Amino acid sequence: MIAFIPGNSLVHRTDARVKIIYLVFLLFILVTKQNLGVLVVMSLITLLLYQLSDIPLSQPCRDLGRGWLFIVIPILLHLLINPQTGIYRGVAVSLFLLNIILISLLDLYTTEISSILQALVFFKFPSELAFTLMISIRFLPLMQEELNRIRVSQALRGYGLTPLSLPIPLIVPLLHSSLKRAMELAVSLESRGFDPENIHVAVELKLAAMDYLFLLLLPFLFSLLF
Amino acid sequence: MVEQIGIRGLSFSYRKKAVLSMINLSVNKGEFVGVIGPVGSGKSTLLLTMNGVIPNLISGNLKGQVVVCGMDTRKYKVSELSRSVGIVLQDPNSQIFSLKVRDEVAFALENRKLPREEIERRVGKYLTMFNLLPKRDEDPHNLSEGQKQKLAIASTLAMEPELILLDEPSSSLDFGAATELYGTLKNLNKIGRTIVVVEHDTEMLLDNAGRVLVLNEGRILLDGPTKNVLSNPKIEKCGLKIPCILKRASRRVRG
Repeated sequence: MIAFIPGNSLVHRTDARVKIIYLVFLLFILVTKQNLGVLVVMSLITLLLYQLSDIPLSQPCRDLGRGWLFIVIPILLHLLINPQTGIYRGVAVSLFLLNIILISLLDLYTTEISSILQALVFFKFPSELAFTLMISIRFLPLMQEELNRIRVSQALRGYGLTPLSLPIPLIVPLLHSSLKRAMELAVSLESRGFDPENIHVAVELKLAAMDYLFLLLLPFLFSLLF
Repeated sequence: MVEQIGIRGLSFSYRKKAVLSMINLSVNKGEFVGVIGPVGSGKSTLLLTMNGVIPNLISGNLKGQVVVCGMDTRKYKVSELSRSVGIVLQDPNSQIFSLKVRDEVAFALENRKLPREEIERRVGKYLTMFNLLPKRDEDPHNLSEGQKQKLAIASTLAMEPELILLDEPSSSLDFGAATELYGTLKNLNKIGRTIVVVEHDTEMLLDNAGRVLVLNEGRILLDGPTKNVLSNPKIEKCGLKIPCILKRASRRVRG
């Protein structure tokens, strides 16, 4: 499930704000520099970060499930369109997507949601949006659970999802339960004094020596990749 | 007697369907009121009008006036009313969102900007009350349904509101845990808290509530002292159960 995995690794201990800066920096590099060389270096950095975080690569593999198809499909499409140079473009696009997904997931695996919220508020991200984002991330694993339950209950009535069938029997109950849950959550939050225009976050973030070191490393990385 | 809830001429319809019709109700400070009624009789809707969720968050056609703890629910935001009114909804899974049990209880207290020491004191007190202290650092979604229900109740009680509203709080609790919960509510009632609880278990109300309301098709059918209401044969006509002890007593009287 895509959720915070408690740990005491170097990546876990890094301040949420530093992680967001790195996330934005790495995504910026990925979007602006799409040549294969930079993408390979980025992939190595991603692997190194996973190594430092003690999160096995099997974790995102499990979490993405069939989502991996979206990473493989570009290679096949490029090969079909242009058999001579298609493999090069296809691998580049796939590496681009792979890195974006892996880096974003690593941030979620190693940062508590309350710290992400605090960091977003620190960067002057609108507090309502930050809170909505936080709640969405929090409820992602629950929606996955709900989807599995619906899939099982529909399968018990003979429904099988095929590549050509529309997943309406899965989507409609999921949407219904999600909307109901969202409404009840809103009622519960406001009933406990939550005011979306005046969000108060109790967690306080503090930069450690290691965080400053990571920030100092940033210009070096920038010059290396640009 | 100080009136804590004053409802006058309340009618509410939602998508052209009348849910509540001409409700008049007065609940004084320190009362323990049970609300019963068949499914779809408007019990939960009545509860939501008492903390301002209707009409502030759930819109519909609302007529009449609801004054709670001296505040007209139309004129105050739900978050402002929450200083005096706490509500526990039926499904704990829709309320719990924090990553740790401790944070869920602290949420309402942090919204009120209480000092850190006070937050810690209340978190410890209410987690202990519901035997959840050993689980304080766990993910709430890994708790059992009963424990989640207890957590949802603890997070509301930690606000220490004057008026506590509960929507079927014992629905996912076993008998022992439900009795324990009602014991806690009774203790809070003894120290002056007003309690309104929607409940399907009439036996539980017989032991704890001082007054019971019966809702049927959005109207108050009966209102009075618990024993009188729960022994009234009219409640069986609504599909509700007369507690065994009262049924036996009435048979003995007739016999």
